[in-house]
Amino acid sequence: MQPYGVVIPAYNAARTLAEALESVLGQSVPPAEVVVVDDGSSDNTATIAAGFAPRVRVLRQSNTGPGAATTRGVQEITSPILAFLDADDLWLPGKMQVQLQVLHDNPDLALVSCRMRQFRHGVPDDGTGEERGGLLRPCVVLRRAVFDAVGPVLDLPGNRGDMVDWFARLRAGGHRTMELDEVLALRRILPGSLSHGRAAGRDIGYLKVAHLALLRNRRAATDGEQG
Amino acid sequence: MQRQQCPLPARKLMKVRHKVFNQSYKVAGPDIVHEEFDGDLVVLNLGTGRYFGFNAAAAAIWGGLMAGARPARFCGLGLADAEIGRFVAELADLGLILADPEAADAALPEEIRQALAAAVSAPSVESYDDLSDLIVADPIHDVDQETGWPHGIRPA
Repeated sequence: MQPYGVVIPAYNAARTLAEALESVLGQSVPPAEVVVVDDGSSDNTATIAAGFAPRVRVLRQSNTGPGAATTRGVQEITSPILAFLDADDLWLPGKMQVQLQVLHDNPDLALVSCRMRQFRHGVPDDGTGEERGGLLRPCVVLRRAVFDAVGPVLDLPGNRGDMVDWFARLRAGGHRTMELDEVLALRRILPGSLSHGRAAGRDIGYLKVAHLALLRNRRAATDGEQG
Repeated sequence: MQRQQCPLPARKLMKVRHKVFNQSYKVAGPDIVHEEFDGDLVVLNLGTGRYFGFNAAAAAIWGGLMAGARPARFCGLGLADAEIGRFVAELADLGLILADPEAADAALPEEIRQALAAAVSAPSVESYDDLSDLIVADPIHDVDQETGWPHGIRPA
């Protein structure tokens, strides 16, 4: 199986980063490279990441958002396979072995995703949390060439929707993806962190993603009429 | 400002039309969000991930409704009354707006009046669901992230 590199964008993640990194370094097929991109944290995120050197490299940048941090991290990776993890989420130990095997067995596959299960911060996962599937940053494993073809992860207003936009561009490019029906990652929930109402003004990132998709769809329709 | 009265052809239709034209509307809930980018209106249902693109006439009607003006105020400016009524009903059918019987009728902003007068085609809306699964699956959109991203763990 091909070597892989992991990018972890992190912002004020001191409480959770060590556990996230341990879940990466403890993989049954360990990573060739791990890059933490500290996006201008005001806590000791960078110090915690540096404690995992030399297996983990730490990049620091002024606060620009998760998209730029993800892209910056990818630029540091030389391995042919990429994976991402959010600094507060965890991988299950066999995650990468399963997904690397799928990519190995399916040469035409651009990206393979998996399901996530929620767990409460401070309470070990007991396997009963809500599961969520779909294309999600901590779940996807992809070929480096695909990332380069799709282009950088763009930061959007309100720091929302950056990966939705990137995955939408991936699909628009005709790349083949597969979602495994297996939980291979865990999503951390802190009690009280869920917002039950919509945050006025903060969902503008999703609206921007929708506008970009709208323009793509209109262009495709025009090209179809002309073609 | 004098409210425009739309012509109503038959008694039964008259009742329905009167209602459509002479009540205020509001967005159908907190999941319905909207924004204009470079003069292009986009409406998004965060609950379903479905999004909508509006042409100029449709965007003007949406802007008027969001300003609190009742559809009767859109009549007589250029668009046919039937087009206005059909489009307001379509917005309701799409789950984007709800009647707001308690709301007072507001004046039509001048820029909306001008946009309606300049409209060259009937109001129309495009509807897409190609982002639906991505938006609904995205864990960030239901999480408070005041102090950090991606998932917003509050510092101790």
